[in-house]
Amino acid sequence: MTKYLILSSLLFSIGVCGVISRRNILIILMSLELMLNAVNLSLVTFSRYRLDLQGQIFFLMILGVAAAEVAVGLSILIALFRTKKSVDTIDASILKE
Amino acid sequence: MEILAVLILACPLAGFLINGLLGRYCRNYFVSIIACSAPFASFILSIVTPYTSAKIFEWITVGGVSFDLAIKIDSITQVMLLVITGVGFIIHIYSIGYMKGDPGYWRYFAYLNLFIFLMLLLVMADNLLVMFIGWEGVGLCSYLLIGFWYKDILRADAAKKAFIVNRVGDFFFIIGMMILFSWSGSLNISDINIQTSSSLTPLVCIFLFIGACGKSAQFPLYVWLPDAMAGPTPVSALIHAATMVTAGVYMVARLLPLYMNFLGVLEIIAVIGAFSALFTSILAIGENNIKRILAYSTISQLGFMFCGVAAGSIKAGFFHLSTHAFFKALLFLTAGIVIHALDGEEDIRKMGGLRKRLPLAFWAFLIGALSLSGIPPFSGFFSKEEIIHSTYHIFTRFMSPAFGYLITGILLLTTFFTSVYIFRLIAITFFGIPGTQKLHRTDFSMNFAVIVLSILSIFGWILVNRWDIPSQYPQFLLFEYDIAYSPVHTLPSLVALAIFASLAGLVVVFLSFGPLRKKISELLTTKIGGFFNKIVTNKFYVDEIYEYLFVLPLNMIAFVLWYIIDQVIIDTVLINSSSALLYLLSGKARKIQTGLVNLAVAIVALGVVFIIALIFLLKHA
Repeated sequence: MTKYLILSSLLFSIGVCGVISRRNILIILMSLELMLNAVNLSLVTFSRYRLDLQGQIFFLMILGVAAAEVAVGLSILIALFRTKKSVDTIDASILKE
Repeated sequence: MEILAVLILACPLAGFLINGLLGRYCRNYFVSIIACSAPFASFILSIVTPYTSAKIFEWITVGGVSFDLAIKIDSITQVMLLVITGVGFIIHIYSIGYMKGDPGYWRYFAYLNLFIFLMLLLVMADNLLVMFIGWEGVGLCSYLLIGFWYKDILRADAAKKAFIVNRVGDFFFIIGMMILFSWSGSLNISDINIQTSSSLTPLVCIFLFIGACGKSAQFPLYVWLPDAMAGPTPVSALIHAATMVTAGVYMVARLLPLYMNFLGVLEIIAVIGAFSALFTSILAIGENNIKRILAYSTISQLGFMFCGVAAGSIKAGFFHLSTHAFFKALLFLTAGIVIHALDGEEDIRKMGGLRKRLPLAFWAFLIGALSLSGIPPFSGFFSKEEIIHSTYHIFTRFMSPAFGYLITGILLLTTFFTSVYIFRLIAITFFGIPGTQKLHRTDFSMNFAVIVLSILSIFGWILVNRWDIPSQYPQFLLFEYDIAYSPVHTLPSLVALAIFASLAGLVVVFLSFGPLRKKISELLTTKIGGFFNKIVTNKFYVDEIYEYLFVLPLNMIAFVLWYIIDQVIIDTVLINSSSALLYLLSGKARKIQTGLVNLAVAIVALGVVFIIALIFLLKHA
């Protein structure tokens, strides 16, 4: 079981690094998806090793939520693009002091 | 019959309200009619009202104790009522002429009526609390009237000084009242007068007497009265000669049954009265302002009155109070005629030879002066004799003989000095080479008032002498000899001594302005003579002493409190710097808001890690 969990945490950290350090918002969204799926992997792992089906059912819920979230996130991105004409986070940094 | 008593109070109050509220819109004619009819009505009512007491309404009720607005008229009160309303009425008439043309005419008469009302309340009070209303109230009116021409800063300062010194006395009065109340549970005069119990009662008596000192300008609280001459002359005549300053004498007389239990307190009163009398009569010799000389004279004569009352002889004290009201008001009003005629000049060195130019003023002033120095057959002689006889007989008999001789001796010496200063005043003002400036015309009302008062100063003693003291006042001292002025019980040698003292003063003045003039001026230039001259002319530096003892420290404390504590510490250090500090810190903290999205996300991630680590550590710690 440990191997799957290590894989899951690795994927999660790669996702976190992506969210923090990438400048393109699309890439950030993709990294966000990666984080979600890493968590999904750990859920399924636990389900397999505890012989409990609840984990896999929860995974399906998360999947649905992720889909909806991507829809919303992409619409926000499009709205941002319409004002800023760019998908770079630097151009979205207007909440300065 | 109680309605009459209430009406006595109501008339001047109504006069004050009408003049105060509507006076500024009326012509002077109406203002003076309303203002003068009020004391006149009260005067008539005072004559016809029998002895009575009335409760106007229940004023304060707290915790089972109640104070009423109650008034009582007995013979002591009636003397005061007649003096206040009678002399007050005459002075109102005088003021019509004196204040003519003044823009604050209505305000002046409103204040005068208010003063009469409050003074009447004081003398008619049945308990100490109501008396205190009148007490404070006349102090207030004194302030308002002294500072009547308030635009002059010196006059306003004099008014402030009067009120503040008065307040010092009032402070002790209040404390005395409080202690008295805590012991006897009531402030009614009749209840207080049967108190003898605790050991603190003499202290209470002394405190109340200090209050009387503040009001009646005895040493050491007399410093306000000479400066109070900054007010209009009729005000000086009414308030600072005839009425307000006698409130202290009245209060001691009212509470005399209480004071009689403590001969030591009476001795103190007599000593302070006698000392004030002597001291201020010496000061009056060195003064050059006509009103200030009369002011010192008032303090001096009040000392006489206190000695009379301290000897247990209310009759002597009040006899002198009445005659003093007559002749002192006369002196002041005549001085007012002189000042008015010379267009505001008050320095006697700038006057001279007014005998021929203002004959009425000269003769009136002479009558007043003869009455003041106690020369027979003028009124002042009889009342002064009464006081000197009572101090001599009573003090030598009931306290120690030495004390009696001391007080009587001081009073006789004061009589001598009284003659000196008043005849010196007459000599400088009315004799000598007349000046040539044009004299202001004197109004008829002023002359009329002066003539009436002159008649009273000569014959007034006949009116006053037929008066009895209520029976609840201790008669045992009076029992020993009949104070009524009859040759059987008076000491001819004492009478002769007093007359000698008065005439000696006259002779001394005559000599020093006549034959011995050169010798006197030589005497003043010698070292000792010059030294005494300097001290007396500078009022023994009492004002300066007070300045250094009290005024300067108070000013310094006030400065410290205002500048250092309020402005520097509270304002700058505490408030302004804390806000500046906050501003600085928030300015620095503001820079965290970069707006960079990536940074925000990184901080979120870091926070999550931090919380997980915290939970991990807490679980295993």
